[in-house]
Amino acid sequence: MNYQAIFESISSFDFILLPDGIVKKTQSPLFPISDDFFSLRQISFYKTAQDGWITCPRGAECLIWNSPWGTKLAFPGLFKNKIGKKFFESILKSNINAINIITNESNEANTRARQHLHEIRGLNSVIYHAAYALAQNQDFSYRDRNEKVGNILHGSELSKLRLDLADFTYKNTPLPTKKPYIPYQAFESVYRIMQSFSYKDKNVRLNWRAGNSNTTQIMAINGFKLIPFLLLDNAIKYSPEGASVEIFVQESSKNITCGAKSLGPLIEDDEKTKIFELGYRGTHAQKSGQGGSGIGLYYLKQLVELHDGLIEFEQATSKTPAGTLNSHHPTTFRVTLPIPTQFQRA
Amino acid sequence: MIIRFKPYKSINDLESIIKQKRSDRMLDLRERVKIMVIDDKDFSPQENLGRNHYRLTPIGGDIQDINVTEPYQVILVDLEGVGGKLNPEMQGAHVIREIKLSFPDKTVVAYTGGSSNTLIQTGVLFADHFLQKDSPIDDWIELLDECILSYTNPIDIWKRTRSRLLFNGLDPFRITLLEDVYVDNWLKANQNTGAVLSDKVKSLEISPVMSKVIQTLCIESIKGLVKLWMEN
Repeated sequence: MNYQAIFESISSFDFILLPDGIVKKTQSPLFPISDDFFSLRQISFYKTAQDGWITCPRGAECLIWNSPWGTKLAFPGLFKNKIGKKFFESILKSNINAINIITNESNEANTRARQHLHEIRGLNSVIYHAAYALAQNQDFSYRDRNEKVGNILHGSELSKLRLDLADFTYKNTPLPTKKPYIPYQAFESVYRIMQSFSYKDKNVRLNWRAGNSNTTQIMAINGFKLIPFLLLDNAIKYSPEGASVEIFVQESSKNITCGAKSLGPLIEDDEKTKIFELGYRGTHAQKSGQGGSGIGLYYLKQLVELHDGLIEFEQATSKTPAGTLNSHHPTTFRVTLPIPTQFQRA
Repeated sequence: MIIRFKPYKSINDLESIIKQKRSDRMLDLRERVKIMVIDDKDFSPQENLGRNHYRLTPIGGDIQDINVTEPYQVILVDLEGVGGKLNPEMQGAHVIREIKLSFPDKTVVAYTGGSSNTLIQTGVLFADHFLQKDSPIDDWIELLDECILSYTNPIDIWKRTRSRLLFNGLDPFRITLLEDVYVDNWLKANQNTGAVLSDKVKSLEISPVMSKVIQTLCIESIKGLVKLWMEN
């Protein structure tokens, strides 16, 4: 989808999504709108305004529009005469679909931002309370003290992974160049970081199954750790309470195969490729009651492809003794990463 | 015609005493009130709050029946990632709404690390309080103490009962007589205040509906409290 073309086709439509107040601002060559129209005072005026044309506190016309897909929008700083209004309404009608795409994009970006914030605040709370407990109590046993220090270190490392993911999803940083890197180390490190949290949060046990690959290198970007992180995060999230998640790294002559085995909700046949699409969540994953916005597997696939790799998954459906389908089934997400010729063993 | 020359005691007569004793009694009060935590993640403030004598019970985020909250007076609900089986869209906000509809007298605290405006607005609308997930321990303590006090201090207990009785149509004169007995017995540190109040309810020929309000909102709530508050 050429979003730039869509923006250009509706270049006069600087608008605000209500009630969130997200501003979709474009550089309009025809009707440049001053930033004053997007001030907090103006936005709060738009939020309370009724549908239709209305004069804003700055004296300009504004159209408040409840779009057919249920999103309320404000188009500020518009025309004062009747012909101008008619002209604007006609452009609006002919661009309904384009606006729909843009507002959906904004809503999705907003959802992603909230999810990152929620997770990072949660981790900040873990770090804070572990540090507070250490500061207040000098009489911790060696084991308790180590647990608290572990919470601080792993909480901080997990925060960094979440922030790296946010950077990656918002393309905040240019993609770093690839450097020789040992995938085994990334998997082992993420496994250690997530182990205590998965157990505390859901009583899920992580099992590390190391294969024969522990020193082989590939060419990887700086954020490579996001691959094991997203694999494990997905597996832990959908595992039932008290289940096990197995993480594995194995090597053949030309590839490193790594992934996670766990019990997960059923993925229907027609969903097998859709689950890697942005914003898509499987029907059974949604029914499981587990929150999510369908971004993890999408970015996992992007990261794997950045390393010229392949992601696949397989699921064996399991039944109860009565013959009905279980709620969770053995599921494996497997990532295959090619070993560049210079690092292949003879 | 009732002729009385000494003024009826009002709940205001208790206020200064309770205010004075509040900080001394807080640790004991914290141990009296059961707090439930509904969160899909480990509730990180739990250990530090536990060390401050709060009785917290985490039940995870997969709540499927609102009635599990019944034995608890204060409920802490994460807005994000809980109650997905009851309402995948509204999550914690739906749980809060259901709790307040089924048990309006429970205190519900909504908290989150970041949620949609709709979730936050609905959650805040139905919850009694709101807090950020990573708030410092002092904020948690201040808020939980406020919740606990509203359950355990005799002034709030009576005010809640009184407003329910007025709402249900009990005449102000009989409420004044009940308040007089209630306050008088608290000031005398009578550990049988509940029984005395119960006798007064009978003598005033208060309807069964109103009697039940007094029984559940007041007499049951003050069990063991007179000793805790009024002993030196």
